[in-house]
Amino acid sequence: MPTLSPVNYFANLIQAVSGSNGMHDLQYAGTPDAAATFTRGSLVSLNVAGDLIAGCVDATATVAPMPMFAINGVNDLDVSSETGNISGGAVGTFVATGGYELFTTEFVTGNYVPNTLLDAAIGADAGKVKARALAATSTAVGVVSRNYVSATPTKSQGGVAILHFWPVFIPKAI
Amino acid sequence: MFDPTIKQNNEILLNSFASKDAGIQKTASAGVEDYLRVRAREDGLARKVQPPISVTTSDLDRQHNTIKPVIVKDMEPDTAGAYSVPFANVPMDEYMGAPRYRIMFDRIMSYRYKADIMNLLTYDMDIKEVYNDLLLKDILAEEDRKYFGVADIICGTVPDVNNTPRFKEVGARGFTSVGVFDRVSIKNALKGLPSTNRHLNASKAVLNNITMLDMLGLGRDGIGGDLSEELFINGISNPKYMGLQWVVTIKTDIVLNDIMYMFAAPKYLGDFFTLEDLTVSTKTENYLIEMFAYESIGATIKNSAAVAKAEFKGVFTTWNG
Repeated sequence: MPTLSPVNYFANLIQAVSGSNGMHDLQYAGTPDAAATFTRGSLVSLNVAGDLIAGCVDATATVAPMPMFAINGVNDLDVSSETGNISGGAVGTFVATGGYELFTTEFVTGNYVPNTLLDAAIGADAGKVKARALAATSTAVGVVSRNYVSATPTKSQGGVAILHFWPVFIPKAI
Repeated sequence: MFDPTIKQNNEILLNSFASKDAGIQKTASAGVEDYLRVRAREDGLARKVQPPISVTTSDLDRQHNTIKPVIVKDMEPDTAGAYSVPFANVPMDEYMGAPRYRIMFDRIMSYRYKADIMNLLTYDMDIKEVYNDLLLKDILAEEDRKYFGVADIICGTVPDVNNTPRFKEVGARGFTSVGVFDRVSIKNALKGLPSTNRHLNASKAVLNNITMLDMLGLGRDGIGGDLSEELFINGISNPKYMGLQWVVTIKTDIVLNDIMYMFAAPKYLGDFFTLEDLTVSTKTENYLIEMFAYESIGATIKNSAAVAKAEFKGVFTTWNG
């Protein structure tokens, strides 16, 4: 098990503000990829090995990764544990096809008007969502539900900027 | 065989659910009779190696950078040793201190099983109790998978390898070949823990029931005295040989054939804390019943010198590389 750098709970968040059915939420629990470092609230998907990775690549003719949103971060102490501990090994996620309104802290800074389609950021921002730039050129993973203005950001109770959206799964047109 | 009493009990039990509160919490209960058993299941293996201790929220240690439950525990310090000096010499100095480590928790849970009560009325067996027992065994099996997974990480999965973190730390391999199962190879295996620089002795040996059957093949010259005859007649039960408690498991997917794990006494080995006791949660909503089991535990194998693994194959050379 790797050395951990757990973060304060409010720093990276995902929250179902509507649609959660308690013990009957649509969730998926999977093993994070060995090299994964994504935080709570990140956009994740399954790689070919069936492990969770940050981000969500576009569909091909035969494979369309399902977008999911991490309930746990890789560095949480109930996911990764220090040497000798038996705990950990799985990350829970909200599946994008679930009927929720979510908010997340993991989004690329900017302004988001309602109904903006979201897709997966890449590179250093992998695991975050961003506004989709061009029509049908990438997988849509969400629709912004509430206006967000970066100059006057909506914040969580912990004082961290959050973006509200409905998760969706619209694969890129092949 | 059809037992109308069981069926009536099922009806009474299911009817009683309809009148109770929506959430019912039950602790573990006994097994059942009167149905064909298809496979053998076993109680927890890790719990035999490291007996669990119940902890409460008052035992948890707050951490500034996480809300997750954690227990911080001290470890025995090491000392620099002693040395000889002539008279009029004063001692050299060392700082006092001891390392600490954390025991982390997560939840183990079963799948949630659900049914329309109408679909359960015609079973002769007490199906709720059957699931009760099976769910608990599933939880314990997952505990064992994780516990022995950590043991394999510490000992290694390839025998006779020197360049491992364990070897660098304690000066001996964690996993070695000891030869085919006989008195000599068992003796060679038991050298594993004392061969480290921490000089522990094995308290328990864990092997599966297939490997243990090789004990029956040892003749009078192999195990001595009338024990060979007794094993031939009565088989193996509650074995305690060579000063060790031998724990025999049917979980051949976790403890593989020809493999024997050796563990030191629990106080040298690590921890097993139960924060949330093993619980079966049962809920009824109108005509739908659902049940699942869960627990929250934290366990460690923290002393790498307290566990080793022997393979009854190949040729024994040494534990010390």
